[in-house]
Amino acid sequence: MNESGRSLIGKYTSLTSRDALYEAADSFEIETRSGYEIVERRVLYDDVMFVTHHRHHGAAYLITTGSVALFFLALVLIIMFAIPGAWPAAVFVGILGLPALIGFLMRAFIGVFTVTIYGRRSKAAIRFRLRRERAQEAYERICAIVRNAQSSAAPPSEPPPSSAAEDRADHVAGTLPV
Amino acid sequence: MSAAAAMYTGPQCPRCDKPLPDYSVYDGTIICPSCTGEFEGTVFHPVERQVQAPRIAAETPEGANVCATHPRNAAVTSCQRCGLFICSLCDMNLGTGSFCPSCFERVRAEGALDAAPRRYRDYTGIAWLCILGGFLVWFLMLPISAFAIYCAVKGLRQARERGRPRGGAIAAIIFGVLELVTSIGIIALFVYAIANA
Repeated sequence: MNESGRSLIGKYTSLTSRDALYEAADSFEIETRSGYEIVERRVLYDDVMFVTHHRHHGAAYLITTGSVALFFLALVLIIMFAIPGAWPAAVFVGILGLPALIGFLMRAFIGVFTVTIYGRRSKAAIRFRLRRERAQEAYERICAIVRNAQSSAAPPSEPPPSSAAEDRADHVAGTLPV
Repeated sequence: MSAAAAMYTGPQCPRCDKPLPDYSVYDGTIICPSCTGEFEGTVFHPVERQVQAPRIAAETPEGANVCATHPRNAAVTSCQRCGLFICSLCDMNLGTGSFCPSCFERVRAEGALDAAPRRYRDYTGIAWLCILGGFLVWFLMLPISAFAIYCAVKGLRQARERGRPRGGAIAAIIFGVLELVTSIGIIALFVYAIANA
């Protein structure tokens, strides 16, 4: 844990917001940055019901990057076959489209790994691009944190001995012989 | 609260966000009955929280006040807004004093509950945006850089109050000052050039 009493577990970045998940003393803290506003939420360790881990590809991302890559590929082909001797221009256009192609291929073959925490009232998610091991580590770390917190919060198996005040209350209520 | 958050009812499929039936929530590899997507899951059984409200019978008969809402519970404090006696079940305390549930809702709706703010402005981020904007819109660099320094100082104060890292705010102050000095230098150069023309 750092000086602020929490340590970063992972992040979830989307087009509109950036979430960061921290391990704090008694809860997972989720810091959502949307524009220039920060919203903090919590999932208490005692409230966690379910933790999941899965890999997905994201159809919207694949369609977008695939379309951009195809567009630039088409441009390259047009330049190469329509304008003789213009191969430097084709190479330049090809380089412009390369990031989209790389993004498409990596997402298609490797995917994105998401860990989701479901609490009683709220949930949190973190995402790891291309890093399966990191995602698995985060999943195991989250499970261990929750397991520790919930086992320490579990009530004792034996009921505590009744105090004098409770005995007096039972006598008042008439459940015990006086 | 967003509609999605308002509708959250418990464990869902992480792929399709549909609620999972109880028989689909178990340890190991799970297949969602709605989307047939596969994911790994671990189930936890959180302990139900119980507020220990001391029963009125457990207190001395003469000394205990009764909660206004729960007559069987002893009052532990009184609402600081309306003065109602409240038990530990009714005590809504977020660090700024005890309120009964109805007063708590009213105070929260009025926005007067300043304890533990959960939504705040990212002044450090605004400062960095201004610093970048100052270089892009160079003829407005002076006022923009001054505003960037103001935001960065607010960001630094915010980070100190919340116990967050201060490096970003300090760096924004330094860059803001550099930009301010640069803008003053540019203005001085213009004035010098006009005076010698």
